[in-house]
Amino acid sequence: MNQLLYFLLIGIGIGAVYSLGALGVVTLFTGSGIVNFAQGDLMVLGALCAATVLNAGHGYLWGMVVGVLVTGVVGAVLGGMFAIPLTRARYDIDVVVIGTLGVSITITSLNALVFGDRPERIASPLAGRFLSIGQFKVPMHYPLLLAVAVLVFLTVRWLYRHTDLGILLRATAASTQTAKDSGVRMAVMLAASWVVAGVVAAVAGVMVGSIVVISPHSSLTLGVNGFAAAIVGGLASPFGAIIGGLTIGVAESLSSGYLSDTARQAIAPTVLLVVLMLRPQGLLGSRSSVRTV
Amino acid sequence: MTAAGDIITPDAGASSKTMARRTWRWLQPAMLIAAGGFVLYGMRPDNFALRVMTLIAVYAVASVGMNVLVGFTGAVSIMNAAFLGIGGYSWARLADGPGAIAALGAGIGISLCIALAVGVLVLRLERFYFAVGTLALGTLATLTMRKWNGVTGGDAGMIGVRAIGVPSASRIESVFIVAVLALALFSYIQESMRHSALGKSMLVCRHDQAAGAGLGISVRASRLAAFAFSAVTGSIAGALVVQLAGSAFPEQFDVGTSISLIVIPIVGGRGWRWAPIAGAIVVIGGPEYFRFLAEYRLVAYGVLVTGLALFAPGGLREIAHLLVTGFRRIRPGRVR
Repeated sequence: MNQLLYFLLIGIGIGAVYSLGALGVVTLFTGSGIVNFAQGDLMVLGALCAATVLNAGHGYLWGMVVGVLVTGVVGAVLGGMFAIPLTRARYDIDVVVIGTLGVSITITSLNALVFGDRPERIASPLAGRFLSIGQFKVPMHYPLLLAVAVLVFLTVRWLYRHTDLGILLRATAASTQTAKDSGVRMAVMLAASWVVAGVVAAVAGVMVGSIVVISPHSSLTLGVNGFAAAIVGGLASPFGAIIGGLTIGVAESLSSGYLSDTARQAIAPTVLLVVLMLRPQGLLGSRSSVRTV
Repeated sequence: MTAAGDIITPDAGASSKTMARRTWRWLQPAMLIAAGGFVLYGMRPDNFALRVMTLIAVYAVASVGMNVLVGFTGAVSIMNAAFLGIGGYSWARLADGPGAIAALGAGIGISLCIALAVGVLVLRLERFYFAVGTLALGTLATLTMRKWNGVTGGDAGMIGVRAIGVPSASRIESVFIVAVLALALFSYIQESMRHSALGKSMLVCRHDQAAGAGLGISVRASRLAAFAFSAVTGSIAGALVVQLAGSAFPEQFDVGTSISLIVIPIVGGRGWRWAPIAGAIVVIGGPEYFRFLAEYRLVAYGVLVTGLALFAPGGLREIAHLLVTGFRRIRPGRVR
């Protein structure tokens, strides 16, 4: 019983990180219709920046701040670039999506060049503290992960509900054409979506850096897990992303505890596929949100 | 008249003269590729150059299928390295015992079955959902190759893979000859398919699904056909990849390879008949000749992909067109 509780807590902690990854995917998808294949790389970028700052002897918060700033700026630059084709009369969204694959390749190789291929670990501010469940000890970092994820989720929610920018973003998400006709500036909206995605990714990356080692090539796994969480939630629902992330985190934790590491690696893509086949609109989405042919 | 010509129904009444002209047009890429390969071979290139040219031809074979898939139907698949893997491992396991035909046939057969199953389950999804689903499948395929030790040899891979033997030719030369011939064959199929009822229904569905459905075209069926075709070209290319390398490893068929495969037709100019070979020269040949740049060539590759996707979605074809017309007729957002 204690063992199950232990695996559940670990899974919820990891799942919180996947939720944050998914939240970045979801904000960008609703804001611009772009599926971002570079989300995992933004997470790694944030984590490696923070690790460098920490290794230089500065505090955890400084690491977080630098990570967030760097990915925020990268997000703004990318947003500006990706806004250009979308302001044309006709554009091909499939090709734009392949552009994010190019971004992913670029950031992965730049990360390797700048930070080196050495895997990094970020010391948690709560290192050495544990939550005891019987004979099992859960590092305090896992509850912290959940707390941070909730905080970020509430912040993004506040941004979307109670600021002018957020309302414009939601208008864009509801109908790009109507928003455009009402005078919403698409380029600004796109840049803002990318910045939000970048900042969320950095927080997720820094947080996950304390429980798994991060190298430039971790981005694929982080990206697929983020996608899986986002798809479980329906790709367009922030709340669904949280549920999806927690589901996958718990499933991974349980399968690595009771089955094998291979099973753990297969969980995220399998969950993604099963949800896509059975409920492409996600567990929470409405049927109208996905068209099939 | 060819067998492919017989399938063409839209204008069954076309005169034999028209048909002959079309067949001639469809044969052009195949003949040029075969002739080009012959000339390059006759120039007795050194081993490195021949290796690079073989790699380009092999990946161009797989890219013909990708070109049909993404260029004709508009479906973005990030799992086609899995078909290369199926073809490659089938060859590596079966070429020695049951023989070349059985090895190639097994690869194609398994790839087709998997492509049809995946197609029925996932291809009905729109755009991104399909792209993300295939990314997940590609990840699962890599995991399978790495962990299914009994069949694939796991991370240690399989070495000492036999290559097809062309009389009085070395290993690389044999693979080069076979790859060029395969590329010529598939280029012919690509061209004749474009003008067939099937190819036209694919193109209609890419540009306007509603119009396609209104014409009584099954969007799903035409996409499924394109996906199955990409699986066939992929598994043949996979068999050639392991023959060239003499070994089969999971790294040859990972998600990075899938990304290269989808990028090749985009770089070339998707749907263009020269896109597979033009794209493969840049994406596969480029990095081989810029080895001295080490990691920087990956940065350049990523920047190239992003830049082309955002600013020249027509790829090399669009750039060539712009150069020819002297930038006079720039029409932003023109999608071809």
